[in-house]
Amino acid sequence: MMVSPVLAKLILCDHAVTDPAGKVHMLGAGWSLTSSPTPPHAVVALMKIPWDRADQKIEVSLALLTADGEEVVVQSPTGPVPIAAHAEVQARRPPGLAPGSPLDASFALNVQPLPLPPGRYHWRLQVAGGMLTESFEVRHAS
Amino acid sequence: MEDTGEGFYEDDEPVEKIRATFDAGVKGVTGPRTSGQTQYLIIPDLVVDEFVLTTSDEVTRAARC
Repeated sequence: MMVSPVLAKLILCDHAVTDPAGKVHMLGAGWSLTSSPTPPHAVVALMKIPWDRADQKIEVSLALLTADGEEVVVQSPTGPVPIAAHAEVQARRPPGLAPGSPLDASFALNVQPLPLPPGRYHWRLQVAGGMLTESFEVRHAS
Repeated sequence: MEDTGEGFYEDDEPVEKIRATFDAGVKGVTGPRTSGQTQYLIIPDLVVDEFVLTTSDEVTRAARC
Protein backbone atom coordinates (compact mmCIF):
# COMPACT_ATOMS: atom_id res chain seq x y z
CA MET A 1 0.00 0.00 0.00
CA MET A 2 1.32 3.42 -0.90
CA VAL A 3 1.66 5.82 2.02
CA SER A 4 1.69 9.60 1.91
CA PRO A 5 5.12 11.19 2.36
CA VAL A 6 6.07 13.23 5.42
CA LEU A 7 7.32 16.73 4.58
CA ALA A 8 10.05 18.12 6.82
CA LYS A 9 12.37 21.07 7.40
CA LEU A 10 15.58 21.17 9.41
CA ILE A 11 16.69 24.31 11.25
CA LEU A 12 19.89 24.90 13.19
CA CYS A 13 19.71 27.19 16.20
CA ASP A 14 21.30 27.80 19.58
CA HIS A 15 18.50 26.34 21.70
CA ALA A 16 15.04 24.93 21.09
CA VAL A 17 12.15 23.64 23.16
CA THR A 18 8.80 22.27 22.04
CA ASP A 19 5.73 23.22 24.04
CA PRO A 20 2.44 21.43 24.71
CA ALA A 21 0.64 23.58 22.12
CA GLY A 22 2.88 22.14 19.43
CA LYS A 23 5.03 25.23 18.89
CA VAL A 24 8.82 25.21 18.88
CA HIS A 25 10.59 28.03 20.71
CA MET A 26 13.97 28.69 19.09
CA LEU A 27 16.80 31.04 19.98
CA GLY A 28 19.54 32.03 17.59
CA ALA A 29 18.19 30.23 14.53
CA GLY A 30 19.73 30.31 11.09
CA TRP A 31 23.48 29.96 11.61
CA SER A 32 25.73 27.80 9.44
CA LEU A 33 29.23 28.76 10.62
CA THR A 34 30.65 28.03 14.04
CA SER A 35 33.88 27.46 15.93
CA SER A 36 35.36 24.51 17.80
CA PRO A 37 34.54 23.41 20.40
CA THR A 38 31.08 24.09 19.12
CA PRO A 39 28.85 26.14 21.42
CA PRO A 40 25.72 24.38 22.66
CA HIS A 41 23.36 24.18 19.72
CA ALA A 42 20.11 22.60 18.65
CA VAL A 43 18.66 21.06 15.54
CA VAL A 44 14.92 21.20 14.97
CA ALA A 45 12.85 19.04 12.66
CA LEU A 46 9.51 20.57 11.69
CA MET A 47 7.30 17.97 10.08
CA LYS A 48 3.96 17.89 8.30
CA ILE A 49 2.31 14.54 8.86
CA PRO A 50 -0.32 13.58 6.27
CA TRP A 51 -3.90 13.33 7.54
CA ASP A 52 -4.05 9.63 6.74
CA ARG A 53 -1.03 8.95 8.93
CA ALA A 54 -2.55 10.48 12.07
CA ASP A 55 -2.05 8.40 15.22
CA GLN A 56 0.67 6.32 13.61
CA LYS A 57 3.98 6.12 15.44
CA ILE A 58 6.57 7.50 13.05
CA GLU A 59 10.26 7.02 13.78
CA VAL A 60 12.52 10.04 13.52
CA SER A 61 16.29 9.95 13.73
CA LEU A 62 18.93 12.65 13.66
CA ALA A 63 22.63 12.00 13.15
CA LEU A 64 25.65 14.22 12.74
CA LEU A 65 27.75 13.29 9.71
CA THR A 66 31.10 14.37 8.37
CA ALA A 67 31.51 15.82 4.87
CA ASP A 68 32.20 12.25 3.71
CA GLY A 69 28.89 11.05 5.08
CA GLU A 70 30.36 9.13 8.01
CA GLU A 71 28.71 9.36 11.41
CA VAL A 72 30.55 11.61 13.85
CA VAL A 73 31.77 9.72 16.90
CA VAL A 74 33.11 11.58 19.93
CA GLN A 75 35.55 9.91 22.30
CA SER A 76 34.36 10.19 25.88
CA PRO A 77 35.83 8.70 29.09
CA THR A 78 33.27 5.91 28.80
CA GLY A 79 34.05 5.14 25.16
CA PRO A 80 33.06 6.32 21.69
CA VAL A 81 29.67 8.01 21.48
CA PRO A 82 27.87 8.59 18.16
CA ILE A 83 26.24 12.00 17.91
CA ALA A 84 22.73 10.87 17.11
CA ALA A 85 19.25 10.69 18.57
CA HIS A 86 16.02 8.82 17.91
CA ALA A 87 12.42 9.67 18.66
CA GLU A 88 8.89 8.70 17.78
CA VAL A 89 6.28 11.23 16.78
CA GLN A 90 2.58 10.53 16.78
CA ALA A 91 0.50 13.33 15.32
CA ARG A 92 -3.14 13.67 16.32
CA ARG A 93 -6.06 15.34 14.63
CA PRO A 94 -6.95 18.33 16.80
CA PRO A 95 -10.48 19.78 16.82
CA GLY A 96 -11.20 22.47 14.26
CA LEU A 97 -8.85 21.19 11.61
CA ALA A 98 -10.33 20.63 8.17
CA PRO A 99 -10.22 16.96 7.14
CA GLY A 100 -7.22 16.33 4.92
CA SER A 101 -5.04 19.01 6.49
CA PRO A 102 -1.42 18.14 7.25
CA LEU A 103 -0.68 17.68 10.95
CA ASP A 104 2.17 19.47 12.72
CA ALA A 105 4.85 17.50 14.51
CA SER A 106 8.27 18.56 15.74
CA PHE A 107 11.43 17.18 17.25
CA ALA A 108 14.05 19.38 18.90
CA LEU A 109 17.47 18.01 19.82
CA ASN A 110 19.77 20.12 21.98
CA VAL A 111 23.43 19.23 21.77
CA GLN A 112 26.22 20.00 24.20
CA PRO A 113 29.57 21.53 23.09
CA LEU A 114 31.50 19.14 20.88
CA PRO A 115 35.23 19.03 20.06
CA LEU A 116 34.79 18.88 16.28
CA PRO A 117 37.78 19.27 13.94
CA PRO A 118 37.41 22.08 11.38
CA GLY A 119 35.40 21.07 8.33
CA ARG A 120 31.93 20.63 6.94
CA TYR A 121 29.26 18.69 8.80
CA HIS A 122 25.68 17.63 8.11
CA TRP A 123 22.76 16.95 10.38
CA ARG A 124 20.80 14.16 8.71
CA LEU A 125 17.12 13.68 9.42
CA GLN A 126 15.52 10.36 8.56
CA VAL A 127 11.75 10.15 8.83
CA ALA A 128 9.21 7.79 7.26
CA GLY A 129 11.64 6.56 4.61
CA GLY A 130 12.69 10.07 3.62
CA MET A 131 15.95 11.88 4.26
CA LEU A 132 16.93 15.52 4.64
CA THR A 133 20.19 17.24 5.61
CA GLU A 134 21.24 20.64 6.91
CA SER A 135 24.93 21.48 6.85
CA PHE A 136 27.25 23.77 8.78
CA GLU A 137 30.94 24.62 8.81
CA VAL A 138 33.36 24.46 11.73
CA ARG A 139 36.04 27.03 10.97
CA HIS A 140 39.73 26.92 11.84
CA ALA A 141 40.72 28.74 15.02
CA SER A 142 42.08 32.19 14.11
CA MET B 1 -38.39 -0.59 13.76
CA GLU B 2 -36.12 1.70 15.76
CA ASP B 3 -32.43 0.98 15.59
CA THR B 4 -31.24 0.84 19.16
CA GLY B 5 -27.66 0.05 18.26
CA GLU B 6 -27.81 -2.95 20.48
CA GLY B 7 -25.10 -5.42 19.66
CA PHE B 8 -23.16 -2.92 17.59
CA TYR B 9 -20.93 -1.68 20.40
CA GLU B 10 -18.77 -3.67 22.75
CA ASP B 11 -19.75 -3.65 26.42
CA ASP B 12 -16.76 -1.56 27.49
CA GLU B 13 -17.07 1.12 24.78
CA PRO B 14 -18.08 4.68 25.82
CA VAL B 15 -21.20 4.58 23.67
CA GLU B 16 -22.63 7.90 24.81
CA LYS B 17 -19.35 9.71 24.09
CA ILE B 18 -19.07 8.14 20.66
CA ARG B 19 -22.65 9.14 19.78
CA ALA B 20 -22.16 12.68 21.14
CA THR B 21 -19.00 13.12 19.09
CA PHE B 22 -20.72 11.79 16.00
CA ASP B 23 -23.73 14.09 16.52
CA ALA B 24 -21.46 17.11 17.01
CA GLY B 25 -19.89 16.47 13.63
CA VAL B 26 -16.31 16.27 14.86
CA LYS B 27 -15.59 12.88 13.44
CA GLY B 28 -11.93 12.25 12.89
CA VAL B 29 -10.74 14.22 15.92
CA THR B 30 -8.21 12.04 17.69
CA GLY B 31 -6.31 14.36 20.00
CA PRO B 32 -6.36 17.86 21.44
CA ARG B 33 -2.95 18.99 20.22
CA THR B 34 -0.06 18.32 17.90
CA SER B 35 3.05 16.27 18.56
CA GLY B 36 6.28 17.77 19.84
CA GLN B 37 9.32 16.33 21.55
CA THR B 38 12.48 17.85 23.03
CA GLN B 39 15.65 15.89 23.75
CA TYR B 40 19.04 16.78 25.15
CA LEU B 41 22.15 15.00 23.93
CA ILE B 42 24.54 14.93 26.88
CA ILE B 43 27.75 12.93 26.90
CA PRO B 44 28.66 12.26 30.53
CA ASP B 45 32.07 13.51 31.69
CA LEU B 46 33.06 14.82 28.28
CA VAL B 47 35.68 17.52 28.76
CA VAL B 48 35.74 20.16 26.06
CA ASP B 49 38.57 22.67 26.02
CA GLU B 50 39.15 22.41 29.77
CA PHE B 51 35.44 22.93 30.34
CA VAL B 52 33.43 20.26 32.13
CA LEU B 53 29.70 20.41 31.60
CA THR B 54 27.74 20.67 34.80
CA THR B 55 24.05 20.68 35.54
CA SER B 56 22.32 23.98 36.26
CA ASP B 57 21.87 22.80 39.82
CA GLU B 58 25.63 22.34 40.23
CA VAL B 59 26.27 25.75 38.70
CA THR B 60 23.83 27.36 41.12
CA ARG B 61 25.39 25.65 44.11
CA ALA B 62 28.90 26.63 43.01
CA ALA B 63 27.84 30.26 42.66
CA ARG B 64 26.55 30.29 46.24
CA CYS B 65 29.84 29.03 47.70
